[in-house]
Order: sequence, then structure tokens, then C-alpha cells
Amino acid sequence: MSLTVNQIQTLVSLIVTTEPDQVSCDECFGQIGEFAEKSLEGKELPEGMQTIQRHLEQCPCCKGEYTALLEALKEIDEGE
Amino acid sequence: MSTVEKDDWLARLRSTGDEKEDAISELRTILMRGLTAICRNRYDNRVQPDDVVQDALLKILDKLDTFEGRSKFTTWAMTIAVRGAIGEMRRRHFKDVSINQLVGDGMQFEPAAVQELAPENDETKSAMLSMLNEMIETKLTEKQRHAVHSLLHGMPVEIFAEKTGSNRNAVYKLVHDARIKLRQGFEQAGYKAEDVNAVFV
Repeated sequence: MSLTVNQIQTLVSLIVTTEPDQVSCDECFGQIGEFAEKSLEGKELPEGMQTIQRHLEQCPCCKGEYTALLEALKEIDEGE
Repeated sequence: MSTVEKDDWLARLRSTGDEKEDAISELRTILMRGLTAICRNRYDNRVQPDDVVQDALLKILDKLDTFEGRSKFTTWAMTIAVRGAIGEMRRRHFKDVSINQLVGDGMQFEPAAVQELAPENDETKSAMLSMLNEMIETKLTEKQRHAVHSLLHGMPVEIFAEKTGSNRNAVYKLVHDARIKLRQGFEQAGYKAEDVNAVFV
């Protein structure tokens, strides 16, 4: 399947936004709960967690799960 | 999170009899609420909360010893449930999609896309697009091309990993390395990221 305009633009966007990333998906997963809580509380991220932020910006797969996690946490928070 | 909250969940889930059953029931209710929210309007509603909550509970009970208390217990449990649910949605969505089907004859650009992004009378855009095409062919390995191509067709790295017998971390790194190679290629040719972005996006 050839690439469409949108897909080429997505590729270019992925290329130009690429930054070094020292975190794997599994390492991100290990800290994502704490990261999500801090985010929902509006707290500043501890220095070590900047790497999680960077990974989420680089990894659409983890970003999708993180977005869903935030939705789920908001839902259970409202239900408490 | 208070120590009491953490210890309470752990103690109750590690207990036996009614105390354990009550804790599991309570946790199931919490997970169901979160899973119901995320199963709506994702991947054509192919997964219902009931489909994944039991598996999530089993995983959580199996991993209790790995809970470090860095977040609330319920947050930790929800991360496991959400990852499992999203993974199942992705798996079902791409069940009948093969890598070969997506990759086809190679990572070609549609002629109409080339015409739109780089009209013949625009030498700069044409040169950049040709360069991108050439770098894809010469700087990336075949596996990188396949992974990037599949990603651009919406296939998450975890599904690509499952279909190719690899693992998610390895495929993410494969794609990330490909992105860096392509970025460096542009930079070595004298194109800054913002220039490339301005031309195509």
C-alpha cells in the first residue's frame, strides 16, 4: 500500500520531532501510574520523570495507552 | 497514598475467604468503571469491559509482589487493566491484517501525493521528497522500512512485534533509530528540521 499525503506528512512529522529517548516502553509503563497521578494533580514533574514525558512524545503506542489511562482514572475519581 | 491504603489493599487481596472475595469484588467494580469509559468509541467498540476485566484481575493478583507503592494501588491496578484492554482492542482490530498486505511492493509514495506535496515546478519540494524517498531505500534496513510503513498505516508497534515474533521494546527502538537516521540524513544535506517541516506539513 503506497503512502498518501497524510502518511507522508506524518512520517515527516515523526522525523523532525525525533529526540533522543533513553526509556523503553516497558520502563515507561513501570512509571506511568505515578506520572499520570502527578499530571492529574497538576504537580510539577520530578526531574527523573521528564524522560517519561519525552518517551510519550515519541511513542504513539504508549501515548495512546496513557491517554486511555487518564480517562479511566478521571472516571474512577469521579465515582469515589 | 497512605501506607494504610496500600497495605489495606495488599493485605485484603492476599487474605483468604470473604475478605479476599470482597476485595476482589471491590477492585472489579473500580476496574469496570474505568474500562467502561475507555472501551467506548475506541477501535469500533470491538472490546467490552467484561471481555477484559477478568484477565486484568488475574494479572493484578499475579503481580501483587511487584507493586512498589509509587502510585495509589488503584492507579497501579488500572494501568495494568488499561494496557491489557488497549492491547486486546488493537489485537482484534488488526487480527486479519498482515504485514505483507500493508507493506506490499515497498514504501512507495502515491503519485497523487507526490504531485500534491511537490509540484513539478517546485524544485525545493521535489528535491526534498526525492531525498526522503532515497533515504528510505538506502539508509533504512528492510525491517525498519516494514515497521515504519506499518506504523504509518496505523499498526501499533506492539502488534507489529507480535506479528513478527519480536517484542515491543525492540520494535520501538527499531522505529526510533530509523527516525534518527532520516533526521540526520536531512541535517547532513543542510536541511534543518523546521525547514523540512515547513515544506511538508
